[in-house]
Amino acid sequence: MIHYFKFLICSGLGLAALVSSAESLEQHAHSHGAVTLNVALEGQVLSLEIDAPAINVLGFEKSPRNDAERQAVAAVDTWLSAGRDIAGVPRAAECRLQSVTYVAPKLGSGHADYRPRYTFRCANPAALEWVELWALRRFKDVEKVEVNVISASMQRQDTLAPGSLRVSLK
Amino acid sequence: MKTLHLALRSLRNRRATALLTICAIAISVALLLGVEKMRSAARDGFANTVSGVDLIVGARSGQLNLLLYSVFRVGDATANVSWESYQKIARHPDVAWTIPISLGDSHRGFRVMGTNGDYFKHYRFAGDREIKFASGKPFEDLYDAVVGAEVAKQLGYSVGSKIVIAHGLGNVSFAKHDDKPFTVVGVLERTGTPIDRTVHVGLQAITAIHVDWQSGMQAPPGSQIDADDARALDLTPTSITAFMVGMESKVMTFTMQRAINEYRQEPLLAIIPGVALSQLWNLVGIADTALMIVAAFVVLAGLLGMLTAILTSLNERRREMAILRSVGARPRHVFTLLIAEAGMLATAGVASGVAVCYGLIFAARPLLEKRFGIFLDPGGLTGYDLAILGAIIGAALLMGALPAWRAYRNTLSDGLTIRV
Repeated sequence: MIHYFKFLICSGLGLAALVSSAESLEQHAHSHGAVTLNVALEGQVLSLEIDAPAINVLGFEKSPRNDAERQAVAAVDTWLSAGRDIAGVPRAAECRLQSVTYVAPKLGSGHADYRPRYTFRCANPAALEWVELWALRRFKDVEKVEVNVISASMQRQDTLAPGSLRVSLK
Repeated sequence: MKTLHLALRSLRNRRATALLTICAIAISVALLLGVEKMRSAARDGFANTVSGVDLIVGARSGQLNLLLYSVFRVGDATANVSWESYQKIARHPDVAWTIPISLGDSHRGFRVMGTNGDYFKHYRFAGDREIKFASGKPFEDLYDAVVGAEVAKQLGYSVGSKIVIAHGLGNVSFAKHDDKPFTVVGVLERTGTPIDRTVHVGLQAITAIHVDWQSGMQAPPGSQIDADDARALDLTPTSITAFMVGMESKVMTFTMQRAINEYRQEPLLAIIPGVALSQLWNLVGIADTALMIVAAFVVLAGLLGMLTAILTSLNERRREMAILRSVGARPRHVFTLLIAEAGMLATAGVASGVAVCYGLIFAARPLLEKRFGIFLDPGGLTGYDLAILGAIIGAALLMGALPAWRAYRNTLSDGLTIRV
């Protein structure tokens, strides 16, 4: 039987870094509806990196114009920087969220992407048979999810079937 | 058993038709199995060629393009990577090792690759296999070369052989670097990858042989720089074709890939080889499926041919059936006789199809190796192959039920006097 569990957040460790973006991403390929998930596994460290256009996270991609939009941006910042409800793994893997790298994108006239990165330490990585990208449940109008998986023995690209959240790591 | 024996004797009586039917089935099965074998063999061949390399970096072009020219020596680079950018990335603390690659010259149809000693140290293929030397050692001197197993075999080279590198690619090149000959100092063990078809020299050697070349031509006599004078020059290359990167931690691979792809000083492209290969298979997958469908229909046509042959023979064989009945065969014996016939035709067809398929693959293998540097290992029959072949025989038995049923009906009504 496989149990799901929510990742624990080690509060007060200050691991979640929320830095305002000064980076320019002009050369980054950006297509609406397409979300990329990068999964890297080495030893006990599992790293998940999400790359999603702002329009699929917020529903809009310009600077917020009213309170509702400002709230939406703030809610996403809190959610993505906390790392809660982002992804799930088999309970037996005993993973704990270790750090979050989150830089809020600069919303302006151009394109913007959310690229949070989560690092987990898993006590029993052998049980890591899959990862589920729960964040997709909150994303909007995602048409394609491309998943890149790398580990000591494998490098692979998969596309998630529509409606599916699960990425096999085997 | 008796029925099988009878069916065999009956088929032997009609051996021309039977052989043609077996041929038709054999060809269609060979095609189907061939498509399947080539597909899996090509995938394994590609996947086994490079392993343990986290990133491949080249000039910004396409993922597949970079993968194909850097690893498989298929196609050419559109641009180079500057030495400064290479050095900067190679010195990054997250980078464990790098293998520089410089392509563009050839030796009697084999590609020449400029690299350094790290190539023999870090490159892995087919899981975790290292490059090993069958004889000799890695290059040390400027004009040392290490040749792959196939190069050594085809051109008869061994340690100590002198070789001349040609400028550019192609079997017959008029522009030769014959003023700076190389000495073979090492022959590699066979790897089953494009390494076998590569001549490896040092990066500085690539610079040295081009030191007095301008716009694809050697400088006129008088301003040429001879082999020994070139040693005194600074032979640090200004650019390389691509380089492979091994990361300290695989977890940093994506971050490094992004950093390289967004590198501002130079348009660079970093790819993860396995990911690029997945993309290639996605692309080729459509053609694969189309081929499989075509092959499946050819098999169906083959089986229909068998059905036609058996059905048309039925009328001629009414007497045969009647005689069988007269010596005590029951209608169900006649039924199983015809099913057995179909089964035997199909089994013989499938068996010879498998033989033809393996024969063709082994015949085509050297050609594919030579033309594309791809090594096909068809392997044995997998469970999937056996399932396909079993399904073909099953379909044949099912089809055989049609003439069997008709013969059964005939024997019930015909008796010994046949009204034709």
